Amino acid sequence: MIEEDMKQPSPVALHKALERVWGTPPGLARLAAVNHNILGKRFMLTALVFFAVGGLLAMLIRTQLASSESAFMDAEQYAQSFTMHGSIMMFLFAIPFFEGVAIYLLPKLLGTRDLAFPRLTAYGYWCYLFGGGTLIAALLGGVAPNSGWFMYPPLSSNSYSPGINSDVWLLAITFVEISALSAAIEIMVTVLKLRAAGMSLDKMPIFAWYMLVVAAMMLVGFPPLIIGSVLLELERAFHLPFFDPSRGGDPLLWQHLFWLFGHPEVYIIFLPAAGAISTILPPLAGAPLAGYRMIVAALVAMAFLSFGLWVHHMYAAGIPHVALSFFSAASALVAVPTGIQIFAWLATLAQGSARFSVPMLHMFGFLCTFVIGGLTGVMLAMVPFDLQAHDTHFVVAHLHYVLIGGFVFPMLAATYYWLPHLSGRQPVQHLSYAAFWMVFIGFNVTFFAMHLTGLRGMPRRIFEYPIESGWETLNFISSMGSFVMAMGFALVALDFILLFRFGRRRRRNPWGAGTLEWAMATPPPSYNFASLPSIERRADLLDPDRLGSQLASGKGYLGAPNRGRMELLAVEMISGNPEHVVRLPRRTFLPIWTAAATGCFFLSLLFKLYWLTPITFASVILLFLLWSGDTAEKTDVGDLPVGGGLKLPPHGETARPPSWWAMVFALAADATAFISLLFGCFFLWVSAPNWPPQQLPQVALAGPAIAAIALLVAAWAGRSAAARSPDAIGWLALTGFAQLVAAATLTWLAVAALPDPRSHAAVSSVFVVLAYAGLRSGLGMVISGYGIWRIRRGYVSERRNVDLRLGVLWHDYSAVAGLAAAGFPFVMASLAGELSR
Amino acid sequence: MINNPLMSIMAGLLLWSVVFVVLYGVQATGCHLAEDKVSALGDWPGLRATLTALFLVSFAAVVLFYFLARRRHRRPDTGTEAFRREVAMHVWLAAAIATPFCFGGVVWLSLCGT
Ligand code: HEM
Ligand SMILES: [Cu+2]
Repeated sequence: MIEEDMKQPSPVALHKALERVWGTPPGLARLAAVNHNILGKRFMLTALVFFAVGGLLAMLIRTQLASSESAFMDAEQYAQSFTMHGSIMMFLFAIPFFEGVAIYLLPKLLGTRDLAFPRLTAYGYWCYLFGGGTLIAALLGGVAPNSGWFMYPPLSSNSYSPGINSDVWLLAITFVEISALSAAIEIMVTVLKLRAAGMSLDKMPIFAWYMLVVAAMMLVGFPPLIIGSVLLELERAFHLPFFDPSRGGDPLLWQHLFWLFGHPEVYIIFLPAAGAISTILPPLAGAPLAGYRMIVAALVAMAFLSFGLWVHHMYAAGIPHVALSFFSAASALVAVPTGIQIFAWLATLAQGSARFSVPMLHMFGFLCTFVIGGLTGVMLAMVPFDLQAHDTHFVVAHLHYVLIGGFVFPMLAATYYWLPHLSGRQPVQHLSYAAFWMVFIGFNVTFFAMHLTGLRGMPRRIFEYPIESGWETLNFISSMGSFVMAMGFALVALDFILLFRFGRRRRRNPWGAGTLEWAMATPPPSYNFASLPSIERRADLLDPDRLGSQLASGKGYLGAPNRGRMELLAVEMISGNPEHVVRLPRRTFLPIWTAAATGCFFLSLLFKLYWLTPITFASVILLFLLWSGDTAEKTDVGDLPVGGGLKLPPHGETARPPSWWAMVFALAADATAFISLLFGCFFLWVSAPNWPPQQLPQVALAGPAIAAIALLVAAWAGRSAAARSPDAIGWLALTGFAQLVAAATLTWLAVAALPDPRSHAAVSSVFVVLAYAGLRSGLGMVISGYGIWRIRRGYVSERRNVDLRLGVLWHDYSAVAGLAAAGFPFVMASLAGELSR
Repeated sequence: MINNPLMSIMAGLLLWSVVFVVLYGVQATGCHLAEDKVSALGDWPGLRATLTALFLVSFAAVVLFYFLARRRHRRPDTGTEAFRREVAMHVWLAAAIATPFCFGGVVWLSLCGT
């Protein structure tokens, strides 16, 4: 271990000192909490509340379907129920729950004290809570979304859903998505930069690999859905046609954008659960994880392949055979890496001698269910079969076998496994078994019966069926099963409550695990590790018991909180060598305020108070700018001693701090959004009816040329500013001015130079592309203004110029995207004009 | 060849994705432009030739890269570097299998219409 070169406090004194810096007092300060322990638990608990609401809706659905021609609900109530059930389960339960698990566990498994951007975690949480709350409020008010969880237009368009219902979905889900995107960025940066010293890529705990891949998938998967939602909302609110075939739109565009997200989504939900299994199976089986490298390769393969099969949800939509073959093949192929994982688990089990335990029981539940779900999935991936079973209860049964089998059971296993960590107590076992069997049996009865009703032709999403259909007995059995399952979940909840109430306090590492989260006291202190570990072996083959006491007595890095700041270690991405010291921001109410302002922004759109929209948007930006104050330094800090004679610079004085990477990933998400937008426009040209338009989206050359030059100037001046910091005010002013010119020109082109964007999709798509680029340039102006302000306040020096380098990234990408946007009217006009004839 | 290890791990399937997008794009555009030239079988020879050529080139490239990755993996090495090479090789193998499996259909399946 590292010899401490600062004066060595006793473990208790060290604990007290660290707790003063990292702890969150009770009371109102909790609303300002940014600590990942608190927020992780908060995410998980909130997700469980939403699970209960979604489960309640499922019970209502099953009650309705239990008998034929039931009068319990009418068509509208039923539509709201299943739409909200699906949306809540996918967006407000599954994703946030694993985000919570990751937020809570990742820093511990990686051997660090928090995530890279604690305030962003808090902001994400509030966005999730407020967005989810909006949906629930709509449900209580009887105006919940009712077009199914995938919201297909034209069903969700104005003509069929004139009310506010669809707007609620589009806006609230987009609001919630902010938390998913921020979690994705945060997880990627944390895994790549904030690890224990010596934890090279090949020594990472396997869960970190899973979460890295999942986060990357989220970063690419969510933007298409957000773009789709924005376009649909633009059509609903401002009549810009994108999905309306009479004006050159195409409802199929929604299906593409939605499933471009939707299928990866299934893997986004499954992989964290699989990661939990790969982490908890080895200690439970008493053998190290088999095939670590194969699993990493399989993860990468799954991530890519799962994006290549979105169209398999659209087989019934009429798509040429070759194109179908691409997607059908990818769908079948993705089973291979899934199989590799399962074999790695079986091999692990075979090497060890598994002890029987409650988590094992849930893992058994997972394996049975998931394999069946996989088999029915392979059946559905076959085009002819899918055309038969499409939109029947067979599909409903399949998706629940996959989702409950692939997510709920593994997560229950993980919860039982980590509850002793979270609570510091051992479970009271008796109830756990009964609870498991009730869930398991109830689940299989419910959904096995649905396979059969589906094969007998019962369509999904119908609120009643005739007596003559012969579906009643099976439906009744299914509903009874679902009540048994519900009672099972109630028992699980009771079991957890009993554990917190009556569980005995026992030794730290009850499962004999080799991962770092057990090298700390349980329940964990706010700072996780009193000093940070340095590891030489793979991070799931360690000895946490020995390591834990060493770290508690301060024999690791950063064990002396004598600077009074929340500090942790950033490492070089690949080798895991210590690189710099990250000094985290303190507790603050800014995240909750910013999220509230963001909520007002969405509400102004929802209630069509458009005069309020710019005001709320500006206040969101303003509040975000206020975040920057906390970690700023007025002088160069210089290298800081971190223990073991090692001195490292603080993050503000290093080339690539976490915020730099966060900007890179944020721009990657931004680029994905832009590319899916362009793909959408191109798709409409290829396949929508009623093309070519009567009026082409033609503009004169001058406008786009001015915008293009301004964008290039901005990028060049931004670079010069960063190179000459801190004497860069002039350059930044030039950047800002150029961005202003670009923003004004692009906006003018969109608003005034084009024909009416409501006339045809060719025009509306050019409009949106230009508006997107204009908005980016407007923000570029804010960013350069911010740079000037930072220089004026003395926050920038030659060494401390991260702010300006973040600007460089922004302006560079603005130039690329803006040039594409400036050229887009010409591309679209010539496609729509010449080539269509 | 590729320096960032994360990129080199992904490279095989990244290439596969690009091929996917290109083939899908060419097929859709081709069918759109060839509307009146398409035969009863939903075919247009120029388009099939283009797609087949693209497919064969990408297939050859992926296989070639796989063998290169395998050779590199054979070289003795330890630690992170060995890990990276092995994972990259597996991923190239996945791409080498996925390419013909997913895109082989361009050679014989009907291109336009349904
Ligand atoms: C707790 C037990 C559950 C029961 C009894 C249940 C029951 C049902 C039923 C009967 C439907 C079909 C409604 C219809 O098409 O008419 C349905 C749809 C759906 N369920 Fe569940 N479900 C449960 C849990 C879950 C979970 C945990 C998830 C996701 C993680 C989920 C996701 C969905 C989705 C996405 C739909 C499709 C909604 C739509 O068609 O728009 N369900 N569920
Ligand atoms: Cu799918």
